[in-house]
Amino acid sequence: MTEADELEVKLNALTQAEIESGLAVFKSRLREAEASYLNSCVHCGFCANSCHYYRAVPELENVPARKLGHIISAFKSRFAILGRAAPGLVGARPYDREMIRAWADAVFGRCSLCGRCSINCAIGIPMPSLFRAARASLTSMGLVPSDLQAAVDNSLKYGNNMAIEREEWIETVEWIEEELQAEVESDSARLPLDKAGAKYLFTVNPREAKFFPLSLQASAKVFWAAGEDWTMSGDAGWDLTNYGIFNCDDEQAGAIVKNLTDAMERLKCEALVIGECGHGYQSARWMGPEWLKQNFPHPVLSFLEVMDEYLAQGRIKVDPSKNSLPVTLHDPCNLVRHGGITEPQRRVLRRVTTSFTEMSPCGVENYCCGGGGGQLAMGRYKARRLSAGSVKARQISDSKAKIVAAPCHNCVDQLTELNKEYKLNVQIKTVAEIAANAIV
Amino acid sequence: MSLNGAMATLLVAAAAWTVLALLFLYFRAKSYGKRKLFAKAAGGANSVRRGAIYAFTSGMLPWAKESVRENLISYALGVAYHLGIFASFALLARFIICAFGRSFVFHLPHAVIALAQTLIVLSLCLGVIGGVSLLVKRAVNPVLRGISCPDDYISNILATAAAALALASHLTPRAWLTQAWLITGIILLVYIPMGKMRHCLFFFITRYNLGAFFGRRGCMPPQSLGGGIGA
Ligand code: SF4
Ligand code: SF4
Repeated sequence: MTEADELEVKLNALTQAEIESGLAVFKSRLREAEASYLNSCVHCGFCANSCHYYRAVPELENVPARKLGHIISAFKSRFAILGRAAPGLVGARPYDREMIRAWADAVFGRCSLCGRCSINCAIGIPMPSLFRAARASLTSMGLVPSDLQAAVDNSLKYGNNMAIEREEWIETVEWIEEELQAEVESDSARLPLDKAGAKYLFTVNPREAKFFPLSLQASAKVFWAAGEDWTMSGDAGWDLTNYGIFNCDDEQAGAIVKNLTDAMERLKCEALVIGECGHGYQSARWMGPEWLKQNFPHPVLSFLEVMDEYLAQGRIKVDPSKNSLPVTLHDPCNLVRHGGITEPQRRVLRRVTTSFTEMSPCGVENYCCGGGGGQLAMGRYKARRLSAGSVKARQISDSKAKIVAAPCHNCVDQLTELNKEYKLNVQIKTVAEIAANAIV
Repeated sequence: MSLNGAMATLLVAAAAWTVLALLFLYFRAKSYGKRKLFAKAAGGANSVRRGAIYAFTSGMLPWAKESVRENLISYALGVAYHLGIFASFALLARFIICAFGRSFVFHLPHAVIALAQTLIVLSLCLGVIGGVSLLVKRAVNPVLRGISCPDDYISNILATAAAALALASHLTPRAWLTQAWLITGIILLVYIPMGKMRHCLFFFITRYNLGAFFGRRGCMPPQSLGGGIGA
C-alpha cells in the first residue's frame, strides 16, 4: 500500500466522533492570539511568493493564504456566527473528510513550518502557529505520516530518534574519541560521558553517531582546543532532536525534551548546549519550557554561540587560510527566523575562512532548504520537498560558493540531496567542521 | 426630523453596531485566554516591546518586506485605497456632526479648510483608483481569485462605492447622490464586523502578536538593524 493510500484508508475509517475530537484538539490549541489570526487574513495574496513551495511551483495550493484558508474555512463553519448562517458568503466549509484531506495536504504536504510567510504577510499573521494547531488535530486522529510518527516513537522508546541502543552509542563515542586523539595526537582529547558537574552538557543529532561521525569529532575538537569542561549523556539526554515539534503532539514533544532536562538535573551541568540543529534548538530553547510549562533553571545555548565565544576570547587559535575555498551560509529557519541565532555563525565563519559570502536573501529572510517541518521524515512528500528545494539550490549556485555551511543536520541532509538533484557540485559542512579544520 | 437628521441617526446607529460587534469579536477572541510563556525572552525584558514597536514602525515600511518590495504597485494601490476609505469616513463623520447642528470647521482659517478639502478629494480619488484596480486584480489574477470568497468582492465594492459616492456628492452636491452615499455608508458600517473588514481591529492585535513573538525570540527587529542577540 502506498503512503497516499494509507492516508485514504485512515481517512475513510474515521468515525464522526473522531472527527469531532480532532476539531476539538484544534480548538484547544488556540489562544487569543491565534483566535485573532483566524480573523485577520484579507486575501491580498502578498504571501504567495514568500513561500518556497509557491516559488518553485506557482500553483494555488502552494499559496500560504490558501493553506491558511482551509483552516479558517473549517473554523468559521463551526465557530463563527456568519460562517454558520451564510457559509458561502465568507467561504466557510465543513470540517469533513474532504476538508481533513485538504488540511493534511496543506500542513504536512506543502509546508515546512518555516515562517517565511509570517514576516511577509501584509497583516503579519504568524501562520505556523495555526499550521501547528492543524497538525496537532491531524495527529490526534492518527493522520500523521507514519514515518514521521516513527521518529517520535523511537525517541519516546529509546531516547533518540534513530533507535540507537545505549551500548552502540557508547561504543560510537569511544571510537570517535580514538579517532580524535589520533587526529590531534593527544590523549587529552576526550569525549567525556556522564561527567557530573561539567560546565556544558553537549547534545547531538543521532545522525552524527550513525552517519556523520566526523561532525561530532569536529565539535569535540573545538571543545578540546578551547580546554572546555564538557560532557555528554550516556543515557537518554544526548539526542537533541525532537520530532514532536513536527507531529505537534505537545505531550510527546514534552516527554522528549524532558530527556534533556532530566540529564541536566542528573549531571548537574551549568548549561545545556544544543549542537548544530535548527529544530533541536527551537525545541529546547523556545518550545521546551512551554511544553513542560516550566522555566528551565539553566541556560540553553547553541553550539554556535559557544564557538563564537571561544573565538572572541581567543580560546581557540585558527588559521583561516586552511579554509580558502569560497564558503556560503545556509540559515536554518528554526535556528534563525524562529530561534534568534543569526550572528554567531557569521562571526565564526568570518574568522575561520578567507572567503565568506552571503546568500541572497539571508538571515531572517532566508529561504527554507525544503527539509524543515519534518519533511525529511515524510517519504510521501519527497518529490515536493525536492522541487521546493530548487529555490535554495538556485541561491547556492548564485552564491558561487564551493562550500555550504549548514548549522543543522536536517538541512545538511536536504542540501546533500539538492546537491545531487541540481548538480550543484558543492561540499556541505557544519560550521563546527569548518571551524575545526582551521584550528592550529 | 429632517431627512438629514434621520440619515445621521441611522449612521450613528450603524457606527454603534460596528463598534459593539467589533467589541463582541474582540472579547470572543480574548475568551480563548492568554498563553502563559515560560521560556526566557532573548535580549531582556524589553525585547517584546521592541519587537512590537518594530512591527508597527520600520517593519511596515515598503522596503522592510520582500513581499512589498516585489509588489510595489499593489502596495501603493492598497495604501491609496485605505486613504480613500479613511477620507470617506471623515466625510461621514462631518456629515453627522453637521446634521446635529454642530460645525467644527468654522473657526478654522480658510487656508486650512481649503487644504483639508483638497486632501480629502485627493484621498477619495486615490481610494477609488486603488479600490477599482484591486477589484479588477482580484477578478483577473488566478491566485487572488482562488483565495477569494464573495465577502472579498462585497467588501471591496462597498468600500470603493462609499469612497466614489462620497467624492461625487462632495464635488457635485445633489440630494440623490448624497442619499446614495449615506445609504452606502450605513451598509458599509453594518457590514464591517461581518466580513473581512473586521481586520480594522484584528490587524492591530495580530501585528502586535507578530512583533511580540519575533521580538521575544530576538528576531525582530532583524539583527542587522542592531536589535537582536549578539548584535
Ligand atoms: S511556513 Fe513556510 S512552507 Fe509553510 S506556507 Fe509559510 S512560507 Fe510556505
Ligand atoms: S499576505 Fe497575509 S493577509 Fe494577505 S493573503 Fe497572505 S496571509 Fe492573508
